[in-house]
Amino acid sequence: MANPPTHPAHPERVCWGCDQYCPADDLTCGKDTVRTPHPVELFGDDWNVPTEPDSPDAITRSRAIESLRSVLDPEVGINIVDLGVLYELSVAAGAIRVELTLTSPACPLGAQIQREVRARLLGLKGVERVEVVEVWDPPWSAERMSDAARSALGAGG
Amino acid sequence: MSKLGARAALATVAAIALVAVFAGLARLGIPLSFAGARASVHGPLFVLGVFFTLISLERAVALGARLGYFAPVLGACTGLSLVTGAAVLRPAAALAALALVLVNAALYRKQASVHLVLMLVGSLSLLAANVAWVSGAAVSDVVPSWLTFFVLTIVAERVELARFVAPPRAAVRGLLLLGFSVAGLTLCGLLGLPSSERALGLLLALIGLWLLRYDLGRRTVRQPGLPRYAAVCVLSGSAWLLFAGLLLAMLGLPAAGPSYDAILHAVFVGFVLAMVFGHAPFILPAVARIALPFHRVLYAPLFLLHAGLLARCSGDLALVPWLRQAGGLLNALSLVTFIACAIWARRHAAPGHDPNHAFGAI
Repeated sequence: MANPPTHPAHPERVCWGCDQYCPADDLTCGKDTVRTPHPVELFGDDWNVPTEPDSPDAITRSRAIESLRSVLDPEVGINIVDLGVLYELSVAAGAIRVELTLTSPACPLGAQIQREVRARLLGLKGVERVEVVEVWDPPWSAERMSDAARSALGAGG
Repeated sequence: MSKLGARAALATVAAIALVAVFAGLARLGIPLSFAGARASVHGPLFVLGVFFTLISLERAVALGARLGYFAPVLGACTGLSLVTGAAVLRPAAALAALALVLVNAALYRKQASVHLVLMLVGSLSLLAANVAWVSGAAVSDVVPSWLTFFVLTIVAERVELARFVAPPRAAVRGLLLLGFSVAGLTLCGLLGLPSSERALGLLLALIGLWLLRYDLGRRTVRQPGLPRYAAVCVLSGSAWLLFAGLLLAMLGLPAAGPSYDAILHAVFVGFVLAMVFGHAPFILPAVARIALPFHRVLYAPLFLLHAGLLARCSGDLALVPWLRQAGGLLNALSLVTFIACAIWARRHAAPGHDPNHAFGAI
């Protein structure tokens, strides 16, 4: 028996449940009461195109954020994600835009942290452009720290 | 400023510091013919040429605007005028302070915050002191205002960092009040209004106590690597501020002599220089892109700093000249050792070592 077509002209006219490929309302096998749809009906025309793990489309926001967990505020010893200075991270077609604040405008580490953020993100496969924007409004406050950061510093304790 | 510019500025600061160290040794009666002529400007060299230039460089990098670098450049000019004795450059001290006032005002405009007000007030105190000094006032008259600049700048940084550990609100307000009172008190003194050095001592002692109790360093001292080292620098420096404050409260501030020597060195070496040691490993990469990976060997110069200062202050208070000299020598050695250890730490970092991965709790 030949392999079923990957892109049949009228997939809705056939039951794709077994290799008999009967017309949609015959159901001669008797196994089921409704026809089984073709994958192209369920997943669209690209159902059989394998997704590459590192294609630009596979860059997820969470992967980018994870990579920024290796950028630390050296004085506090806590990464910028848990510290809550990362305000926004958006991904679009190989370009990442990051909005970053600092705990104080008097802190000289800003440019250094921005350099590291850029390096980490450009190190991800499929990332071609990184834009880091400095944001001062709203101001950072301790509530933005994650629970992990809080417990590492024993805040309020 | 380019990477090269920042490195050139740091090299200039190091050269000024070297002259300042030799001037200090000459002042202690250790004969160094070539530095003897600079003995009288040992204090201004360190305060204006070294510490001011480093702090204003830090602020200029934070601001990120070209104009901000006028402050450290003018600071270095002040230092060079003191090294060379070129009186024509001396007004640079007032202009440098003015430039820092403008930088701090610009930082405040980026984001209004009370710690930036404190920093701004500190730089205004420096401006008042430098204008007086350029106009011919004696160092002993302006030194309380210089001290105010450093104490307020450091307190402002620590207030900001204290937010990570959320101290009680009343404690934060109390510290801000202490800071502003220090500024008010020293300004009155500078203007010849009734003021009290003993009250200033009490305020400084309370600030020292506050830092020992509530500073971020109390928490980060439990972390490994660089955060712990920085915390040890801050906390030990705060202990010296407490000591200096108590001494000032008990003895007042004479225009010269052993207690003057002990109080000023407890503040400028014990508190300010310890902060410089603690900050260098993360300020150097930020300012000049010189990676200074943390290594335990950096504790050696810190130990020499405290041991030397302890000897110096004991010698001062017990009137034992050789102990004071030995302490001064150890402090000179601590600066040299710090530079040597920094170079050693750079050489002995693991290949491909990323300074950011040398530590980190989470």
